[in-house]
This record gives sequence, structure tokens and C-alpha cells, in this order.
Amino acid sequence: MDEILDIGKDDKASYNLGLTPLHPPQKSVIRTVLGINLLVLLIGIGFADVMLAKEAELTPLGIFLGPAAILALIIFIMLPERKYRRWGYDMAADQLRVLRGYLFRTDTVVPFNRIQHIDVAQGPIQRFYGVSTLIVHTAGTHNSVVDLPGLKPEDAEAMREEMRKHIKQEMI
Amino acid sequence: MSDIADPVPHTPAADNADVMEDDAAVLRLHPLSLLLSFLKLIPQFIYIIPALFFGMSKGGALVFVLPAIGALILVSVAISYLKWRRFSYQVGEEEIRISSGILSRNKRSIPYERIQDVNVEQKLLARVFNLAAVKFETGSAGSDDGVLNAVSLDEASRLRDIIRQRKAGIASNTMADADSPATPDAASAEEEEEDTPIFIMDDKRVFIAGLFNFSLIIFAVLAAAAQNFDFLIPDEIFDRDYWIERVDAGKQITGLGLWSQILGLISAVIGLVILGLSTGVITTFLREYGFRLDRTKNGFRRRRGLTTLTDVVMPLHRIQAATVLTGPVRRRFGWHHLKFQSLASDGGKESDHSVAPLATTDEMDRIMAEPEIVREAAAEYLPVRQAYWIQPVIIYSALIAAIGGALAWFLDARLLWLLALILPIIFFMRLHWKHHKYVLTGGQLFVRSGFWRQKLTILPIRKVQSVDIYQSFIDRALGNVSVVLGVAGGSGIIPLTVHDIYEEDGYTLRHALLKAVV
Repeated sequence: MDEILDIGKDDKASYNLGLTPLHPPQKSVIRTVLGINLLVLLIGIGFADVMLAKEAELTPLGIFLGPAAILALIIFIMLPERKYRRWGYDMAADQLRVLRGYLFRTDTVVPFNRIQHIDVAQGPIQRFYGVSTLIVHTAGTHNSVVDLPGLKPEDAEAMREEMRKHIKQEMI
Repeated sequence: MSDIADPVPHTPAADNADVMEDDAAVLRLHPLSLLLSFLKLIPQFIYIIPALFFGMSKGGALVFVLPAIGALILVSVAISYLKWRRFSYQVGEEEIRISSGILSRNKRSIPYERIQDVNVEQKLLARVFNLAAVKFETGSAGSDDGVLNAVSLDEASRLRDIIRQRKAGIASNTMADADSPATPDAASAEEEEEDTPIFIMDDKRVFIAGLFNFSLIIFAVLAAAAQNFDFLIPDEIFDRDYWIERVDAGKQITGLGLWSQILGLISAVIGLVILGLSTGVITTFLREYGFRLDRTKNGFRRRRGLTTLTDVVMPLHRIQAATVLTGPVRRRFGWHHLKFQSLASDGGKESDHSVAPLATTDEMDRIMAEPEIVREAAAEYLPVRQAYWIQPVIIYSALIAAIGGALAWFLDARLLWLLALILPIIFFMRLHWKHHKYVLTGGQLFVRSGFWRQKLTILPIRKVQSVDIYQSFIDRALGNVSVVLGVAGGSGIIPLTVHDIYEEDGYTLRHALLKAVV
């Protein structure tokens, strides 16, 4: 517990307060998901661009699509790495800590004996890259679900076992 | 899509980790559940009928439409089948495990300690096939805890028995008396009819409560009605000439002179006040008439209502936090509204229980003594940082300056007076800040907030479910954080938050809050 407190004070300079980083392939997951979203957006912009240029003859072809594509490329290259390194978690003796986000950073602690049930989930993209998401459910209306994506599947399973051992009898 | 075909090679490691549970048989839902889930799909196919007609009317397109519908049905059936194939559950030594999902796989683990109740449900269709749905309820705030949609009736009762036994085994080791469902509580409360109530409101009290519920909502209702039923209103009502003709208003009003105009204004205001007060009194009487709170064996029982009488039981161990609401005027008279935030059970019930709509501090203390919540903080409340009011003031001021400036530029320079709006915003935001205070003492977190709607939340820290430290990029520059608490029950939209305190204080607060939990 004291460690956690200290980490928050001392390692402020580091991207994720010195917590455990996610499994590296998670970077690829973030990039793939981002890529798909950007592609969909670009197709939409491209369609509008062509319509405005060819049908309405209002604008020169590519005036929207060009800059958008360049911007998308920059985002695609820069963002995943940054997103990835802002994540962190810490599996302490009796609580799980999850840190996420940068502009709006949330640092959540869930004590093990407040966990109601636990999921280990894996979507198709995650499976391709070999990462899992650990999801803990609490009784709180706020934070009823806390997601920790980008774990090595073995680690996720091991963490689940560890937490389950700690779930005490105390009823809420 | 290829991952449907080879789900196994990717998960050997996962299976190794499961060794402990592997001796528990992997079970599937009843095959007939396939039929059930397909029957449930049928209503969705109704949307196809218009498409069919459209296709027919186009003639040639029919060749196109029919195969498309066929394919759609085929795909739905395939999906239902795959879902069934990929859904399995295990009844282990310590937990229930549920695996589900076609593309996105999810493995849920529900420890027996956390299962509060097992519900066996038989809907009409399921009954025909002698199937039942088994629902495991844990205390989690989400609605989908663990559901086995269709198992045979025998399997359902087997599961229920196993879980009750396991739970009983756990319970005998500990104090944990299982959360009993509301009905037995209600029944036992019935027997204790003779109990002396812990809090009652007579008609006079309800009337006073009504006065504080001043509301001009009636105008909103009338406006909405006018919108929707304008066909009932004669056309002339919107016709200016009609009114001038009728009352010759302009001449009459100016003719009356200044004093009469003021008198008219005053009487209009008085009229509004009377209307607002009577609306408050009427709605309050409808809701709170005959308010009575009893202490029963397990907790509280509340009865109230004029037209619809409601009767609610609140087991003590489900109470999570207390909320004391008041306002600047009400407070002066010593009146408060006490609520208990309680764990919603059995789905969909209110989780914010009003236990004393208008009470004195003594009356509140008597009620709060039962769940052992102390109302008076033993230590001084701590203020939050000034950023709490300065930040919104800057944002609103910028907004007003932009809008006011633009309007003044384009329309009329006098519109610059709009900037004066910033002054009251500063005033009220500061008031708002002054009323936001917190203190952690005696095992309880006290959080005050709001100037007009003054709210004091008292949270025994053993009821804390999770603690967030939140920091936006502006907060970071200022060295501030907000501490957001996960509490069972209550509003999910506005969680209990201590806004804008020093980063260090935030971490210390979290540390202290969690020390009691772990």
C-alpha cells in the first residue's frame, strides 16, 4: 500500500507512474483498431470529397481527402505508441490498480475483496495478436466494470486465480 | 473468421492455468435451447415482410429478394448454433465458470461467496419444452451477472441445490447471513405491525415539506400541453388584434399609471408564488401522505402515499451510505431530508431510499443510529482548491465573451452588457466552491456539496467499492486531482466525488480509504 502511494509521488515523470506496462503486442491491437476506425472515416471523407467535386463541382478533387489522409497517417503512426505507454497496472497483494489515459487520466484501485466476479475476454483482433482483457465487476454503481486490456493470456488467467483466492467471505 | 475453426491452438496455456477446475465437467445448455433461441428470433424477421412486399411490387427484384431472405435466415440459424456450441459452463469447487462468445470469447468466473441468490425462471415457451433459465445474482452493479438461458428443469434445480449447499458451507464458517430476498422480510414485517414507528410525518409536517417543494413545473406542463393540444385552443388566442380589441390592453395599462403597474407586477409575482407552493404541497401530499418508518427485525420498513400506498423494506446490511439534503432556506428552519443509499436488489428497484423527507437533526440522528452512521463529523471539514470555482468561471467567461462580443460586433454595441453576466457566475461558482468540503474521520467519509441543493453524503469507508484518482491535463498543470468513489447503489451518473484537491492529499485520502477495506 505504501508503495503505491510512493509510486504516485515519485515516478510522476514516467509515462505510467512506473507501473507494469501492458503486454507489447497490445500496441498492435491499438494500432489495428485505430487503423480500422481511420479507414472508415477516410472512406466517408473520400466519398464526400468525390461527390462535392464530381457531382456538385464545388471543390477541386481531393481538397478534403488529401489533408485528411495525411493527418490520418500521422495519427496512425504517432498515437498507438503514446496510447500504449499511458497504460499501466499494478497487481498488489490485495488490490488491483489500473492507470489509463493521458489528457484525462484515471487511476483506479479495486480491492480484491470488493470484486464480485471476473471475466477474461478475448476479441478476434486480440486473439490474433495474443492478448487478453481482464474485466473485474464490482458492486459500485460507478466503476461497476473495470477493464484491463492487453495482458498476456497466461497472466490474465493467473491474475484471475490470484484474485479469486483473495475474495473473502465478507458480504457487502 | 478463421478463428472460428481453430479455437483450440490459441488457448493451451489458458487451459493449463485452469487445471484446478478441469475436473469439473464442461457442460452445455440444453440442445432444445437452440430451438428456443431461434423462435425468439422470429419476431425480428417480421421486419422482412415489408421488404418482401417491396420486392414483389418491383416484380423482377423478387429473384433477388427471396434468396437474400433465405440467406439471412440461414445466417441467423448458423449464428444461434455457433453461440450454443461456444457456450459452456462448469460447476467447480469454488466457482461457476461460464465461457461464451463466437468471435469475442469471454470466460466468466463467479465465486460462490459472491452468489447472493439463484433464480430459476420458466417462461411460457421454456415451459413447453420443460426448460428453465438459471440466473446467478451477485452484488455487481451490472445487470448481466451470470445467466444460463436454457437448461433442463432437473439441471436447474440441481444447480440451485449445489449452490445453496456450497453457500451454506461458506456461511456456516462465517457470520454472513445470506441476503434474504425482500418478500420474507415483508412477511416478517407484517407480523411486527405493533412496532413503534421510528419516524412519522403528520399532515402538518407533510404540508411544510410541500412548501419547500415549491415548483413551477406546472408551467412546463401547461406549455407542453399547449404544444401538443394547440388544436383545442381557438385561433384567436394568438391573434394580437383580438386581444387589443377585447381588453384594449395598451390604453388601459398605460392609463393606470406607474403605481398600478407596479401593483400589477406584485400581484402577478404573488400569484406565481401561490401557484408554485400549491403545486409543491399537492405533489408532496400525494407522495408522502401518512409517512411512517418502522424499525423491523432486519432493517427498516417505510409506508407512504395517498393514492398509491407504497410499502418498502430496507434490510440494514444493504444500506451503503446516508445522504442529508437541505437548502439555504430549509436549513434556517432546521429541516433536512434524509436518504439512504441502498444496494438495489432483485433488479430494477429504487436504490435511493428516502427515509425522512422532512426531519430535524435529532430525528435524523435517531434513524441513522440504526445502521450506525454518525452525522456529525468529529473533525473540521477541509476545503477544496480554488480551481474548483476558477476553472468553470474561466470557461463560462470565455464563452460569454465570445458570444457577447460577436453579437455586439454584428448587431448592436449595447449587447456588450451581456458580459455583466460573468459577475453572477463568479458569485455563484464561489458559493458552490465554499459549500464543497470533505473530511475523513471516524471511519466515515463526509462530502458536502452544493449551495442551493445542499447535499451531505456520509459513507462508512468499509462500503467503498473502488477508488479512482482522476486528473485532466489542466488539473495536472495545477497539481490537482479529483477522487471518485465507487459505491453500491445510488446514481451512476454523478458518482460521489471530492473535486480538485492537491495531488498529495488525493493519494493520501485514497490510501486511508482503502486501508479499511483490504
